Amino acid sequence: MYILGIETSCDETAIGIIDENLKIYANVIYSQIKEHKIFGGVVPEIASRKHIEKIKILSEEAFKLANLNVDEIDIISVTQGPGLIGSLLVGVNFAKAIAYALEKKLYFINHIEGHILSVFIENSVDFPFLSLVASGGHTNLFLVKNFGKYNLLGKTLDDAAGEAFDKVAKMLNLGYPGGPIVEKLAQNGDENSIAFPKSFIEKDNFNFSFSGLKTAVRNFIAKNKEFKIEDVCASFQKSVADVFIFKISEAAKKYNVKNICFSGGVACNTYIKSRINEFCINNKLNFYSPSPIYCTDNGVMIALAGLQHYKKSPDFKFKLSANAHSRLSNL
Amino acid sequence: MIHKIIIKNLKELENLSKNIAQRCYGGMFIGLIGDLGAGKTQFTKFLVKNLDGNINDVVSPTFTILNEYDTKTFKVYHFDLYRLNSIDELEEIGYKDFFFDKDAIIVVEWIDRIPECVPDKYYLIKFKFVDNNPEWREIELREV
Repeated sequence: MYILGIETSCDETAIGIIDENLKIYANVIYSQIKEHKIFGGVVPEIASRKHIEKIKILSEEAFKLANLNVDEIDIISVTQGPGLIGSLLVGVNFAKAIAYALEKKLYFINHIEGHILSVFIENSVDFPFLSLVASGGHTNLFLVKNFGKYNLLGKTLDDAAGEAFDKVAKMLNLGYPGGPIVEKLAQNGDENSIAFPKSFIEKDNFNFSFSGLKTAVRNFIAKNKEFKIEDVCASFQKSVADVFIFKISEAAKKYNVKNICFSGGVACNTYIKSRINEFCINNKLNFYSPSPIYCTDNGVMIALAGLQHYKKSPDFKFKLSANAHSRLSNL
Repeated sequence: MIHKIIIKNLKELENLSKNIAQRCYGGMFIGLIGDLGAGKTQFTKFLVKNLDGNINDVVSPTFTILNEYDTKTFKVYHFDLYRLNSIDELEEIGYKDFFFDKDAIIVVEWIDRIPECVPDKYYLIKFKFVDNNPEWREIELREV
């Protein structure tokens, strides 16, 4: 059985092909970051236009790599939301067209579920586990009891973690996307040089807030004439990592969970990843995080989620469309 | 008509939002201007909370461009033009369906990025940082 996964929720057009044993046949991604760089962010109109240009070529490439014909696919799964509506529609309609023409099973996947399940691409993780999904558009902490059983413990109350990286980079005139640039500069900075606020460190509350941290960085830049950009990056990054670790630690205690997963674009940040890993080792917790290629948006995680949906309900779902504010519901 | 006030903390921002929330009417359009971290999203959070205490999920719309909230009285469309560059891009989203909705309150962050998108009658709120007082903001309210 072959599963095709299609992801177009933001600035990556991505196609993945896997089989029911999670063997990966293709994982192709076209990123629009170059196109977006001059604007310092994702520009939605460009995003949807580029998806239209790339999605067919990219799928052909994926099938060539997999050495498969499109009609050999058994299941098609596509990101329904959340994301940019114009971008989502490209993927959803592309998937619908294939499913309709070839009479294939079609599943609509919540983008966040894809990120939660992305840990299964390279690891087998026992339930229950905590899943921290952090990216440019999302910051969520889930207690995952099984496939399809996601208990949202907390989310950002203002800016997403990745958005904070992008905006801090913008304030320092570093370019887009902010994550990799800030991380690179931080390597040569002193993370203890500036005490930025650790937002929302309260007990029994798993929500996040990064807006205050962003403002603190802005105020620091405005107030100080001379400073090392590297120190700002390192201190800012440390604040983000400290908050993540605090929330994970509290949630792991409260729910008595031993397995910790970290995914989404921010999980590409090796500093944050190794800080969480170190925390887990010290506290006898198991830590799982996908390789960077599966942390950023990809089609394989959507295919994997599609396979789980198929196992729960092996029938067609044709009425749905894209939903920019789609909320993750349990299966 | 222009009002200028200084607010010194979040409580005072909340009071301002409450004041405005009490004067909201269907079709009211509020444009927000101010640097990153000046308080645009925070203001909107307080405004929506004062329209409906049960709504606590107002977040930055930078990623999604538009967030919608159903309060007890009005629907609130919360836009963010931070990542947009022209009226054409706004057209692409079908913004007129939202901007001219007479039953909703429309709040638009970074309105200064596409100033020509405003309706005939609107309110502008400018948030300015105050030197040497990182918590303070100078707020300029303007009715156009």
